[in-house]
Amino acid sequence: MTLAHATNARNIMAAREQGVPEGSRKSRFEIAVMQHLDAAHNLAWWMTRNDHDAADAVQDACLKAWRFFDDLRAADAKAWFLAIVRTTVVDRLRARKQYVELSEAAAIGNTPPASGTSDVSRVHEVLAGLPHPWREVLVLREVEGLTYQQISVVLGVPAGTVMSRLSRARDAAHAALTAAQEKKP
Amino acid sequence: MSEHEKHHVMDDLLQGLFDDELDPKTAHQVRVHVSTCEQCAARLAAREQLRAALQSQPLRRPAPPALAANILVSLPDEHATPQTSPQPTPITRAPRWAFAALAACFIFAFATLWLATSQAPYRLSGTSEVVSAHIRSLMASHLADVATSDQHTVKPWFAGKLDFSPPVTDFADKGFPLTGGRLDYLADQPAAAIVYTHRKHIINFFVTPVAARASAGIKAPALTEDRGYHTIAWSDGAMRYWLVSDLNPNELADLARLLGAPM
Repeated sequence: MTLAHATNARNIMAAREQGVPEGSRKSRFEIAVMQHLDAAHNLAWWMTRNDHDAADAVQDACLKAWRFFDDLRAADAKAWFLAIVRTTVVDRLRARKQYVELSEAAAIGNTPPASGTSDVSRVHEVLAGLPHPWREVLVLREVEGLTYQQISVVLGVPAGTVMSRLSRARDAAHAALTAAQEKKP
Repeated sequence: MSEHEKHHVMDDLLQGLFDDELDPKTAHQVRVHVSTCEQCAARLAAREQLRAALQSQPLRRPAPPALAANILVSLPDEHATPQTSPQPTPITRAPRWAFAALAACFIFAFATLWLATSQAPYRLSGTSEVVSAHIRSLMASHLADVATSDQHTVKPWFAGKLDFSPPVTDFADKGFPLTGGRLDYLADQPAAAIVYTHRKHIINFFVTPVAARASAGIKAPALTEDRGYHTIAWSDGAMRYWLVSDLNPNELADLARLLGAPM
């Protein structure tokens, strides 16, 4: 018996104790996917910076995940689900021409330094002000604590790209944060 | 590789080190580089600074409490979903007794694990501890407390120091001359270490009585390899024996046979 099977079986037993009908597609979905709802919402929120849009995108992503749930063969349901969430959010942002590409950000030159007065709002503003490709990789790594392997699944890029993108994102965030702190009275 | 490319590669590796994503060997190499490169050290420090800033704030935006319930309600019915797979996975189709059996498996596994760990001294001393004792004896020039090839000197020497009498026989005529003996400590108890040589290879022969709490019983000789050393371990129910050397397994087995191991 593999570890995945054991974990799965344990989860199902836990679900049975909670009165969820065993083995129903919905209960399996809850166990595999819905437990990552906070991570999904967190990613969607940082991408859209808006409560309503985030909840809407997550709901949409859940419907997609539900539809394709039987295709889920990967061991890592979290990365699989977050990849769906991320695609949903990016598609929506692109449709509204709100998605900030890296090339545009590079053309602008730099990330706008934060103007917030407290440390809380400064860190917040710096992260929210980064172009989307940098913001998402930082949120996935520093806030969600995903591994390179998981991030590469979510973003659909090789692990090497994850590494170099993280590097640029950190440079940009650090520069913006330092600039903000220097402006501090 | 140009200077620029080299820098690029090192930068990626720095990320890997910082995120704990490198294999131990590469991580060590990068750490060595960072210790000599001011630029990389500064970059690493900036990373630490950023992470500290990010972690000092509650940045995570979890889902609002009602969202999960709303989503579950909004999911279309199972029958209405055309993509529903026709057969559930075998584990969910299993009857109730299967879960009982599974639970029994877990209990059995844990019990086995517990038993195994509770006898850890026995198992451990079967390999790494014995090999470590062997290596120590070679390093500290403390191979023998009594250095003689005379078995009638070695055996009495142990008599006043151990509460058991280890077998000491010289096999010089068979190619394994006795070199000496010393006291060692294995599996939480004193052990006799009897030293043989064979074509310049040093062989440690460890003997300890079977501890009262450990399971007694005859153990057939088992060969293991650890850090390039071979160990043959066996037990006759009253004593435990280990032969350790960098000698090849075949010749080590010859000595084990001479020492009475049922090879």
